[in-house]
Amino acid sequence: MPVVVKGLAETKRAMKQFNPEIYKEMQSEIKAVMLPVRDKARNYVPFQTMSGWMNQKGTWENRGFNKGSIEKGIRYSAGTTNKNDNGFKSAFYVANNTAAGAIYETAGRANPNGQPWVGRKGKGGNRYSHSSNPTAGQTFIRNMQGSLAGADKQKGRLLYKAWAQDNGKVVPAVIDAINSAITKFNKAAQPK
Amino acid sequence: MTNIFVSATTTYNGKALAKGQKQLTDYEKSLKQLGKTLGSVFAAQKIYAFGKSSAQAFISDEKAAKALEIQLKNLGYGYADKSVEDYIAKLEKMYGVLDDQLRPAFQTLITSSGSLIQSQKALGIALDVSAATGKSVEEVSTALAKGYTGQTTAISRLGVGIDKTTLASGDMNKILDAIQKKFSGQAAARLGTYAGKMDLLNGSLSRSKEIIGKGILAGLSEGTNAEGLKTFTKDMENLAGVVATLVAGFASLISKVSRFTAIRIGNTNVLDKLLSIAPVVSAYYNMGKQALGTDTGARANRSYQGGQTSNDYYVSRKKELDILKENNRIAAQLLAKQKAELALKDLANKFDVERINLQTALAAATDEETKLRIKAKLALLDQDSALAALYNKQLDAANAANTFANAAVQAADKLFNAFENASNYGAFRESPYVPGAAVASASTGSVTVINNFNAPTFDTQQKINQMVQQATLENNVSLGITAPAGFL
Repeated sequence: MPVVVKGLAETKRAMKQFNPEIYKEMQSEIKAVMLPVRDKARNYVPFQTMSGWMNQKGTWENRGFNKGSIEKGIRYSAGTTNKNDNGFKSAFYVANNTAAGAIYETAGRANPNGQPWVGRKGKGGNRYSHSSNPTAGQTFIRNMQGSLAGADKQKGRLLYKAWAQDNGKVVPAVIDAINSAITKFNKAAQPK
Repeated sequence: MTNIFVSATTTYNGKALAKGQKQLTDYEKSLKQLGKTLGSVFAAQKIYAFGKSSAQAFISDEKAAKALEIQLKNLGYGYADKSVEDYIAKLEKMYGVLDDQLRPAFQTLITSSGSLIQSQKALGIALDVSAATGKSVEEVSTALAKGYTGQTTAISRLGVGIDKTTLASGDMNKILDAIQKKFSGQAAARLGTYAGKMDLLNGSLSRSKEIIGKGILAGLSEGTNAEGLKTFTKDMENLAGVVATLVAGFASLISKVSRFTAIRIGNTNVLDKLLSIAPVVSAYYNMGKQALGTDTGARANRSYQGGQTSNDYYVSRKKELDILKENNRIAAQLLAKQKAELALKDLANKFDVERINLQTALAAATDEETKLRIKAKLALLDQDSALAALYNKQLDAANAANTFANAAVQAADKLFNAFENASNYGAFRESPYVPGAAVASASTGSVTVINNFNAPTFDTQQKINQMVQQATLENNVSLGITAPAGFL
């Protein structure tokens, strides 16, 4: 499981100021641990999927499937995210940033057989399928390659899948990297 | 922006948190040692950069202190300079706020309030507000300083929640009390937090830098004569490498030998004893002591430093209180004198014969014109020129109305005579209708014939007089003129 490190931002700032070498070393170690997760997630992006989705025009123009774009959109960052609703920030994270990537990641997670169909004239809202084809959602999910992995809201086909497989190794490694840096820093600050 | 991401450092984990906290505490402790062991941590090259910034810190510090010193002298508090410096130094150590921020803040406050006591109170409150709101001490103190000049908008913008009535009163004592009530103890409470401890550490580092900077500057001054100062930059460049190495060496040496300074054998400390054995090192040590002053562990030596004691501080506070008391006493005396003068004036008025006669005449007067004349005389007696001029104008207006009334009466007489003469000749004997009647001119008394004049029936002269008087009265009322004497 990921951890909350109280005062991580202050620690990073102080390290950066007083001992940038150790800070850089810590950043590199964490990056080395996180990059395999990113690469694994990229590898889960299929070479091609439904031909309609790969068409870059029409309704799906801004979310058309493109392997290269989706792979580039899965990125590692050593910075921090904005606060979430509970006030937590994430540091050292891998994110899936493209719209198509997000669709491929999560499609069928809430409704494995597609959203409830209401048709063109059915009630509004984005929780219903308004397609003229009643089985459009089901077909879309069924034809999608790859399977969902993970749990609850961290369940997906790309990043969440890779994370579900590797987080057991990654989190301890990141904690070790932070602890190791703090220990080195303390040691360097001790009187000789 | 998608929110699909995975992170190694977000979710709660009690064990890791406890471990992280422990590590951070260790790290915090270590940081406190950092200031003492800089020489052993940094490389020689960084020591050179550190030395440069230390010298700059000392120069800035001395400049700010001098500015405050002059400001205090200008405001008549030159005697309190030492106690103010002592106060700022104590605040810096107590709350971890740098003197670089405290001095300008105090200077702003004392310039506006003009009182040492008020400035100290306001600065204390500014520290509390700063700790609570996150605004800088300078920002808060500037807002409070504006309050002393009557501008309370800046205080309301601090978001301290003072009600508008208190702000509108402009009474800084009330305003400060209200703020203090809400924010008291915030600055002290902040020291318990991680950020507060870091500030204390920063303050300590800053003071260390100032002391080191002074040492470096003293050393450089020692190494150059008056002529040499002109080529200071060149010397600095040439000697940079050597100085860096020396400072690194000395810093390392100081970190080791400083442990011996507290140990004493008889009246001599161990360090002096040891150094006396090594004459060459001892010579350098003594030179250093001479350059820095005897108290090397104390705060950077400045022109105002003079071993300020708490007794001196209270003496200076007492002096200020005495001055305030003396000012209050003089103000009270002045007020009493003004009251006595006013009472004497009232008494003199009571025994003024001319005034008594005029007041009696005014009470007895029945017509407005006489009353106006008496009032004008009284105004002249009081030397109230504005009131006298007003009465004079009213008198002129009354005279003009009288003249007009007299002329109207004369004109009416002539008109009546004309009608009477005409009736004697039988012109109006059968009908009151006059196709080509005559009217009188009030100004000249001459008679003019007007065609189609629908004249009323005039029976007597008395009736005509009544009509003219009525018309005059209405005219006066519409013009706002006082009724003339003898008018009905």
